Amino acid sequence: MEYIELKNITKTFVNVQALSDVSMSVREGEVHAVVGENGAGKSTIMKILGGMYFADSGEIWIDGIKRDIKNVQDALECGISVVYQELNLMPDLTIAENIYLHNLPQKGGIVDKKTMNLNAQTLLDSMDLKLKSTELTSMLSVSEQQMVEIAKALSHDSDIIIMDEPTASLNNNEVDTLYRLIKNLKKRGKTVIYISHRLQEIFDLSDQVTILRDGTYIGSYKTNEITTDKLVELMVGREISRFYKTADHVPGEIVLEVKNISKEGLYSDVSFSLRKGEILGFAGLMGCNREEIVKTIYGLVQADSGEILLNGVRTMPRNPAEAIRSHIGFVTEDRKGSGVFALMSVRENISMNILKLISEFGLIKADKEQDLLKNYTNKMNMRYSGYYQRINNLSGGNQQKFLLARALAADCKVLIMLEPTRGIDVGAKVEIYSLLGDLAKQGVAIIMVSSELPEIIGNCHRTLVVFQGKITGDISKKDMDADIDVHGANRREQLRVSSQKYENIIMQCATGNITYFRGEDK
Amino acid sequence: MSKAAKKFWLLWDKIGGLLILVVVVIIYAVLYPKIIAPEQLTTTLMRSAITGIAAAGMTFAICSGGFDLSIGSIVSLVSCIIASLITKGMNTWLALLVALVVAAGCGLINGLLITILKIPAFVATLATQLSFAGAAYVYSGSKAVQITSKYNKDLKILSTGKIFGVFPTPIIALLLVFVLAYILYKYTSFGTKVRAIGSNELAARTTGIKVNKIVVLVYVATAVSAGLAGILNTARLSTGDNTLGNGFELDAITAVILGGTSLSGGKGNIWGTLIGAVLVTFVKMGLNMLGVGEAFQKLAVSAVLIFALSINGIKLIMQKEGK
Repeated sequence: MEYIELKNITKTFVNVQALSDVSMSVREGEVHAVVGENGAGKSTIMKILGGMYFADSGEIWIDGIKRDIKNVQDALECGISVVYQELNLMPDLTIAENIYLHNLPQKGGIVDKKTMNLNAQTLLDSMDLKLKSTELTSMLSVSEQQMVEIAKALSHDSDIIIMDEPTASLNNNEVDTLYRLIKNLKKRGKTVIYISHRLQEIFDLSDQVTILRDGTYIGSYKTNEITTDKLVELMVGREISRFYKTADHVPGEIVLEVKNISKEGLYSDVSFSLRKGEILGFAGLMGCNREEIVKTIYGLVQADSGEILLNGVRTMPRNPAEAIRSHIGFVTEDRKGSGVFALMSVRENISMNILKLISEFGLIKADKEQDLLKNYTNKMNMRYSGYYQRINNLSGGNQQKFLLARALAADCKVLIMLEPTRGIDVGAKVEIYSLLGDLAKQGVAIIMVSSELPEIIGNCHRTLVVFQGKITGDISKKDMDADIDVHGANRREQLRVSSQKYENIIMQCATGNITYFRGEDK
Repeated sequence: MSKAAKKFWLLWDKIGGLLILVVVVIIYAVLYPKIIAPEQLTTTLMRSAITGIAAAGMTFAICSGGFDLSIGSIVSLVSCIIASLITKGMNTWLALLVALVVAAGCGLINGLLITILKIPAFVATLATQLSFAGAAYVYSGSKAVQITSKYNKDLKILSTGKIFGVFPTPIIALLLVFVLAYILYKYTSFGTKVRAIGSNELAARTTGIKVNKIVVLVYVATAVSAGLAGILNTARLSTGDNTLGNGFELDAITAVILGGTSLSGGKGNIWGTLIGAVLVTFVKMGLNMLGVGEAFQKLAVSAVLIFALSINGIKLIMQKEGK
């Protein structure tokens, strides 16, 4: 019989279907990997098991008993502890205090520090960690904190341990320690559910692997019976519908050259170039720091070394204001947090970058601002009730268009757009794609960072893949589509195959399995 | 939240202060009709100028998402400097200019602490409140300085003087400052950027607004407006007093909040602030005329402040539940 059974789990957030009708099962004592792209629903389903989220519908059965997990306490009672991706340690408490915070040993109403420290030390030693239980957590490195998080989960002595991308912040040595730890847990009969998108780890550690894609269950396989290729195919698998207005024009001369820029702890020795009218995609998994690389061009991050040339002139903006003056535009990935001015009108939101240009004698000319708004409304088809309307009352897609318009209003020649269609509906997505295509045709050089591979494959001339702060892939669409006969009868099928090959290479580069530069596999 | 409720709050933000003012005036008029006699009203308005001018600056500080607790001490410092310089024989107008430059310097210190050292505005200006008050105390040798009639001829223009022989100078100054503040707020890139920073500082940085520069300017402007208030008050009393501004920041902040400026920043109401300043002054002076002591006046102002904050709180609760 199965040890853990999830039956028909469905979960919807405000307007995103995170999980739809997912059923999966885990056997006792195995290491069970759960894989999928960003947004596949891995973390959501584990949070439901851990009591952080509550499923809209579906059942959880553990060891033959139907369980109702409403909160973290319930999960612990079911013998489930979760090591989350985010660190939740209190920096001003010691390691021991952090580990036992949920249940401090007491003697006559006073915390029994001696027992607590001793227990914590035993636990740390059993994990092979060279840490002192009395040390303050704030003194630890990120990876050490991650290990303490794991210790915290183990301290509950749960039978089921869920780890949500535990290696995201670990270096190789620490990954080895983690491997040993997991093997040790398995020996002690614990069940481990391991979420990761690093393929190597899955093959190293797991007995069974379950694949999720777009919130649905795809399949479950014995790890030793599946190949890397097959796994990647199942992860990305979907047919790439090319409704995106693929930019089919040929890019012009080089506009932007990034030469060997490095930033300690974020990225190292990054070089690439961008042509006039080119749409350049940046792919990579969460935490690979591709955002930081492109933010350097816009002056939000300062490189330690290397240089950036704009039209052959050294341009290292120290802040966004300087970047804008050099005609570099930027649209953030965090619309609400660093994009819109929620309390201000749509008109004010559009003109923020060029207030000087539309002012006379220090006063903003309302008619010029109005013209600006009208102009972009016509071009981009924004919908709002009047120029005075507050921008936070608009849909995500409309807000995104305003952010794009704000960047373009400052006459940008290089446009950097992070997650161009995050959280917006399909109709607006298509509009944004066609706008980007038109801009490129008019000669704007575009950098597009996206977590959605189909979006990158469908829109970009070329894709750079980043893994751990380094570029591991430079793949041009032309190469990928080279053997497609546009007039052939099975053109559709060929397109599908080439897209899949494309995604496959990107995923392999993004997980550090291979490097790939311009067609020839190095 | 229902549409009617939304409309109500929108209207309340615009004219809530005015409504309260009308109610207060009616209550006073019933209790003590003399309060609404024309000469008395003029006096009230002249006094409002002091709170009002400082509150105009404060509106920018609060609108930018900040706060300035140090303006009372700036008033005291300015007062001591003017009195000392004038009684030493310096030309009055030059002395006033020096005082304003010192005030601007105080604002610069506030701005730099907040932007460069990243100290939260509330704490930074609490600290400088002590520093500036201390400076006033040290500078004056802890003595009040009377500006005798030998020296205060020019100063009198600012207190009892009348422009074109009709309009009292303080009231004209008040109106001038508010017209200027309104233009700055509404029609210049400075005002737009201040609101942008208050609305979403991170977005402002990302968009390329030089946030630090604007924030420093905001605190300099706030301090200079406090300096102007200090000048008017010193002229009124003809005395340099190192405790003149004690508690003054509370009046100004109350005026701003009553006027409908959002405490979390991003949205200000300049004319609302003017109404708020008149309201605060009116409450105080009315109590004064009714024979209520200064301690109780403070209680009354704090009650008005808590009332305004509660209404703001109720609004936020309703908006949250409405979502």
